Amino acid sequence: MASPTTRSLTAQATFTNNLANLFHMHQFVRRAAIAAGFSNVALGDIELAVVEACANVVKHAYRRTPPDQGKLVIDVTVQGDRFEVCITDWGEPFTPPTGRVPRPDVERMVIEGQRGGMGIFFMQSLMDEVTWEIRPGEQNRVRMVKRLA
Amino acid sequence: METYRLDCTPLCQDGVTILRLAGFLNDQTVQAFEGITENLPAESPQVVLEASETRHISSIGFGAVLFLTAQLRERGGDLRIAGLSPALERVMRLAFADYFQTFPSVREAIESYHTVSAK
Repeated sequence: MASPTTRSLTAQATFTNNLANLFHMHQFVRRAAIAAGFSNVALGDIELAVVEACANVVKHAYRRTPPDQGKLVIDVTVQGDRFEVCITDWGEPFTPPTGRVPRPDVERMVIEGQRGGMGIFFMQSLMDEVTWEIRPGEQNRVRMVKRLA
Repeated sequence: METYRLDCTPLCQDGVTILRLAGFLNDQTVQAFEGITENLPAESPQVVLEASETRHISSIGFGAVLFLTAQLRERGGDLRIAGLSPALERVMRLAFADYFQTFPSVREAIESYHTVSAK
């Protein structure tokens, strides 16, 4: 028998800027996505996109902030088939891409020994919508939407 | 405190190094992965990454696998991946197209080395 799924849900959790908290950020969104009916590949898509987005906040927006001195808030909203995750931080602003970032240049990554740097590519490729709202000196927010097929 | 865990155990089978990767490969575990892969036996650059129990690989984890693969290819070997979940297989194809060879099982990945060697 299929598990009942949540068609309407809002949840919020607050974390500090510490990579040690990445597991809990990930699990918070994973639980909500499962409750909303996601599984298998689509669930994996959401998990990876969220981990990348949260890691970016900790490593980049708060790169000059000591661990646990910055705040990251995750809001999840489920409405019908729409699963929305918003991640808000109060760290340094960044300039979001104006369109889709291209697939990584694998040869260049190898030559340069580049690790990572594919976060935005994954977020855009795996989610149905990704938008940023950057208010320098105030807050940064990334909003990602996945629709239940 | 709950956190990400990675169990990465190398073993040798039929002249091929099998890396069993169980758990999560991401910012928190990538150093452990690289510590293990830096010490793989130099004389056997043919490696199979057994990923049937790999839960999650992030951007930085894929980068580490990519870099290891490139190093093994420079030494005449390769890294071939067995047992990826459909979700991870999809992500890998999205980002890296056909850079990695993937196989349903470890046995098939090992055999692929022997098939090439026999030619």
